[in-house]
Amino acid sequence: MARLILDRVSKSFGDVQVLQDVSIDVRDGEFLAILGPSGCGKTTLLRLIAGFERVTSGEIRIGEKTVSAPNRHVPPEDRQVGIVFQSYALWPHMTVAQNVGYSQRVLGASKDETRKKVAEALGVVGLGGFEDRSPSKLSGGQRQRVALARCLVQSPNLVLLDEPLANLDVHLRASMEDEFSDFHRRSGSTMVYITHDQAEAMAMADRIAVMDRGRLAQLATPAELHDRPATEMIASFIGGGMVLDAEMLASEADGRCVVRLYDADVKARCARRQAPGRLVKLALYPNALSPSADGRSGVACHVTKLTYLGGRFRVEVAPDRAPSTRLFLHVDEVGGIEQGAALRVAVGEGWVIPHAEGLAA
Amino acid sequence: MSIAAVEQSGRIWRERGLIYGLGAVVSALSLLPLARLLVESVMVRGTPSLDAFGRVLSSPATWTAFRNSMETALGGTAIAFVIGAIVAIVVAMTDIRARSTFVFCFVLPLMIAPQVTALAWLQVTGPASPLLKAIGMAPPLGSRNPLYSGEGIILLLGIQYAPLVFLTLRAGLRSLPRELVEAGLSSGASKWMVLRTIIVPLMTPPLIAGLALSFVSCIGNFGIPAFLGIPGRYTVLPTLIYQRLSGLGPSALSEVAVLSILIGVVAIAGILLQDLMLHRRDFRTTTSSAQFQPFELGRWRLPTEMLLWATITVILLVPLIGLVMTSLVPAYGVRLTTATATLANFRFVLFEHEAARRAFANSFMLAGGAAVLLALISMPLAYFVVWRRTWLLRLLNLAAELPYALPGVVLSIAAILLFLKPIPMLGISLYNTIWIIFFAYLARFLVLGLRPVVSGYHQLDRALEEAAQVAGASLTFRLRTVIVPLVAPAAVAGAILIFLTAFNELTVSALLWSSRAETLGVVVFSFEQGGESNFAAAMSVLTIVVTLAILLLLAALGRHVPAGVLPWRD
Ligand SMILES: Nc1ncnc2c1ncn2[C@@H]1O[C@H](COP(=O)(O)OP(=O)(O)O)[C@@H](O)[C@H]1O
Ligand SMILES: [Mg+2]
Repeated sequence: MARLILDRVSKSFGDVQVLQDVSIDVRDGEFLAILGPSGCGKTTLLRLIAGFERVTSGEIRIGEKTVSAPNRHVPPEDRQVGIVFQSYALWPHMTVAQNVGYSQRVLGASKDETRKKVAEALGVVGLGGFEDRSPSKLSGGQRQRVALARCLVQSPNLVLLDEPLANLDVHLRASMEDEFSDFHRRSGSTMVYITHDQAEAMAMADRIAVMDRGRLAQLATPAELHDRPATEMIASFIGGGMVLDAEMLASEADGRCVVRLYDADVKARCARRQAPGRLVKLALYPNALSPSADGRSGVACHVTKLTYLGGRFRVEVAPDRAPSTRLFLHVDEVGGIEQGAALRVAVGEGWVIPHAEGLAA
Repeated sequence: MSIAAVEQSGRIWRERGLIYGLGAVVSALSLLPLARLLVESVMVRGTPSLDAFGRVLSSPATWTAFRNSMETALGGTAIAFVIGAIVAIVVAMTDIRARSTFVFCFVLPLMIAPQVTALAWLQVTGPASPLLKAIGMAPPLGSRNPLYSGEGIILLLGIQYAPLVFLTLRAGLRSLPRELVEAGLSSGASKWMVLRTIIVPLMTPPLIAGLALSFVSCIGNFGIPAFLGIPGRYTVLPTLIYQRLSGLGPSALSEVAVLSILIGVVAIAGILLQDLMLHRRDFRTTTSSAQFQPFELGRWRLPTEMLLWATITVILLVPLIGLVMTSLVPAYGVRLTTATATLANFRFVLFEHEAARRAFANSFMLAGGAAVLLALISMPLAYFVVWRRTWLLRLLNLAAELPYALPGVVLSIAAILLFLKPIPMLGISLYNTIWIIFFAYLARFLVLGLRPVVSGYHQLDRALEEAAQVAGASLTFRLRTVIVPLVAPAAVAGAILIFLTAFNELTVSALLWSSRAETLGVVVFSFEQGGESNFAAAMSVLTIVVTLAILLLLAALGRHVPAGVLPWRD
């Protein structure tokens, strides 16, 4: 168990800068998810923490100890970090028990003690009695559990998991998500969990660090990330949000504001007071939109597509003022909505993105 | 410093020590001998001089041998091309049956030493041929064997190296994405047209690479021109070097050094061409790698299969039968019948003849020792080359190719130059001992052991090592408990390839052997030169039996061997 601090960590491979000034403070015992699209540098970050790569600049501290800095590098074997690899990395020439007990063998522990610890760890992951199996005889989910048990025996300061569910089928994923949460609660370890699946991160993590092209875009709790995304990228990456151009009309100190969205004035929340007339980006989730009750207020649109989603419909509309933009909303019944028909859309509370890109200040 | 820090720096030094140690071993095996050879050619008794170059290059014998070398290498390559390419296309693209058995038989000549091939063919065509005698067609005793000629050398080189063309071309065909062929067929082209307009143009780079490889092998071959050319007074560069050195001894060294550089330059041109062409073979324009459906031959299938097996009969079976028959004949020229057949030749070479008996022991120990030692070196070496990408060892990994790619005589001359005088400081002399042969085997066959292990590492998930690393295991502990057990099958396959090649080898030991340090190849060669073909045949039959037994062992090792190590496996 330990605190993990990344302090302005950067990493380049040759000329290519893969990570830039990433600072994260992971609390002791916290479950932190690192979330981001493929290629944004998540695996590189994990390999830096584990010590497989050296930092270009910045510092990594585990507990009280600086383990990575430009002139200092503690090798992976001395970091007491556990990893659950995406490919599980179980040694095919060893039995389940030998795999799980490997770190005891490194320490030169006695046979009895090793056996006890292995049995305990396999018990925790629900694989008691599998000691003498070969890893090749196990299913994907069982292999994942063996990898977890191997990590557990090591009693690591810190557990790193690199997209551990990416190789499993959908229904196994849900049960393994519970497994990881249990594992975290029982072991109390600090965990850093890497994923590109926002639902997975939302379901398990205490906090989520969203990465975007090698930078930390936002570090926040799942709820905050959902309600108050810091950038356009986060708003569109999380929960299928839409990001729309709007104009600030008025804002108050407590964060409530009114913006003009096409031909309608709508209420929204914002991080700070902003000058009227300023162009802003408004983040909206589909469930904030609905067909206007009176048919007169709201944004004037035309329906471009209607899709049945089992139990409800997804409606795609284009605002009359911005025909190339698309808005999405869900309705339970079509009742008169059809392709090409005019529709006024009522807009619920949205969020004004604080660090909108590409806008004049 | 804290205890942990001391431990950590100790480990770092152990790792560096391992890297530099491996670097030193590989440099000593691959760079040092060649550097010594280059120095010799431009120095006369310690002073820089190009005298040796001048003398050798102005001698007519040099240019006769050079021309003969080029002639036989080009001729042999042409024959290898015709046989290898046709067979590769038929085997890789049509629905013939018993494919893997056929491939095994077709590739087998590569595993049989060239001098044994030569000996076997001589037994088929000569006036004493038991085979021709049995059917009453033998020419009169005393008439000249038609294989004692440039044409004979060309024919046998072609047969020996057809499998090389076959293997490179087949590898190319197997990596050809099937969509390319299917797109052609679905736009209405006939199979023949697809072959002509799509497959052949795409296969040009691997084909040229195969040709270059076969050319380099022909240029460096010693066994075939030694058995056919020396009696026929048809000299090529390797046999010229051999004759100079065995006639004049160490005084001819600067001269043969220049000759071996000459042959080395020709070989390097071929190697570079091959390398260039292999890197052109890149079809990453399409994503799927599935192989195409073999073309159905229909009513042509049986005739095609019969033709293929007839080829095997002619190039493999008939010479082997000839060899076995000769080994059973009691004396030169006697007709073989059930009454005259005898095992006396085998008894003689196994139990009675001192040098032959010794040669079995020597070759077993040399080949076995080299195989084991090189497998042990290859595992950590390839680890640093593939997974750690240590630049020093990556460069040396390329250098390790040289002693194998260059003709064997080049390495032999280099080894003589290196060890003619006792090793400085140690004062140990390897010249005229078995150890100079051992050194040369280590140098020449290192790459044979290294390649399978390198591809083994490429096929393993490196996370397997990283998982041990985060569990706290040091490099030596990881090597012992995780890495070596995982690459051991590849290392064993490499060791077996080394053993097979070294056990049957003649080129290197023909120049390096001394009394009491004979190898099997050398003894077979001297029996044949002394006119004792029956003994030579008996020894060769025994080596073929050992070779076949080992190949069967490899087949049993089967699925543990990484893909691509055993040439005949699919
Ligand atoms: N060893 C390396 N050398 C060069 N570039 C690398 C290396 N490892 C990763 N990269 C690059 O860094 C970027 C981030 O990769 P990665 O950390 O694997 O992303 P993610 O795990 O988020 O998908 C990619 O563009 C990748 O090509
Ligand atoms: Mg990744």
